[in-house]
Amino acid sequence: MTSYTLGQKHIAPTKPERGVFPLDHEGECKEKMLKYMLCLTRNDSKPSKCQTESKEYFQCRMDRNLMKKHEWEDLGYFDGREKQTSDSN
Amino acid sequence: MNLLISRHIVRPFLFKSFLHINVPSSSSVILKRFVSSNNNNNNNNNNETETPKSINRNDFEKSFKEFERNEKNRGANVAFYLSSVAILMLGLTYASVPLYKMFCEATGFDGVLRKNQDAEVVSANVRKLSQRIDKSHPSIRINFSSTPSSLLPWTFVPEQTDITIQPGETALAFYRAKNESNRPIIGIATYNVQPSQAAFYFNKIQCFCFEEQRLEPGEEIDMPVFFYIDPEFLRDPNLQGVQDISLSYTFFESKGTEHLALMGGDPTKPHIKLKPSEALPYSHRHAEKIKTVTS
Repeated sequence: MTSYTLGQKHIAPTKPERGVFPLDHEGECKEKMLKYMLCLTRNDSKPSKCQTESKEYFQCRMDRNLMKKHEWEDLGYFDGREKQTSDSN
Repeated sequence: MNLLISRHIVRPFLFKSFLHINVPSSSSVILKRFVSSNNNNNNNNNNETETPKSINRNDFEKSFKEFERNEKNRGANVAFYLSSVAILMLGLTYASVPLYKMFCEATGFDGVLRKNQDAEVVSANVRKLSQRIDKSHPSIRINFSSTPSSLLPWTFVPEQTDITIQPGETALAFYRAKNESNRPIIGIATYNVQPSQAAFYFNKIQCFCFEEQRLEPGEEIDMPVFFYIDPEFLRDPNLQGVQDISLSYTFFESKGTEHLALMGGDPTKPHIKLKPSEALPYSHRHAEKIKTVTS
């Protein structure tokens, strides 16, 4: 771990805004995770191209009570006009 | 302000002497000044015709003594004033530490992370991201790394080495952790963002850090990190031209759970003890060592 803090101010990491992901002990959403990883490798590691797969992963988590239910906008997936503009990447 | 404070403290002594601070004090001068001030008082009391001399003399002595006392205390008054200034400055230096912290948290100066926000504020911020994304800006590459800890017998790696995103875009990334030992371990993770000024713009929506995570022996788990980079990142003068951000996670064993190692892992069976070689750090690597020697 880099710790060149001689001249820099120490910044304490903060907690995540929406808290912690409960652990997926049963591996229920592992399949979706692997699909997302495959998509990333195919698309040059750009998550903007893999919105479907990541949405599926979140849906899997929300269905199995491993995550609080959110609207897609709350997770940053703006359907409709945003989908067209992301293709221009 | 200092004037107010010191006046409040030394008020009984300060009244006349403070105004005549430049005059050197010798007894003749004191007498002269007393006489002149007394004359002023007498001029104000001109309508009084009856002034018996005996009463006048007593009054004179009293007021002279008071005046002398005030004059003598002048040195002490200056000392009080200066010491109050010194104490005030000392108090300010002690107070400056929390005041500066508050200032940094409010304004985000010099890379301090923002305080936690409400759930509604978080959702509103994420929703507003769609308007704030500027697609014309170049993408940023986020590099993922993990620091293995020799004391913690876990394999902890990122599933992807890097992803390319734009500021304002939400991104999902995964880490994988496996408990290699034969006892349940409770770990706790922390992270680090480089460059440090970018830490202020790194908004973690959800992750797996700072909470105790328990892994059974041999268990392997995927840990997601969901985050975005604030679009304000592009307008920070310190971060112009920065195109790579490194995110590094480290897992530690949670304090207070090391006793699980000596108990053979199961708190309900305290009589089971591990062999000392199994409870030592690096014990999870012993098997590999032995293999290479015999082969």
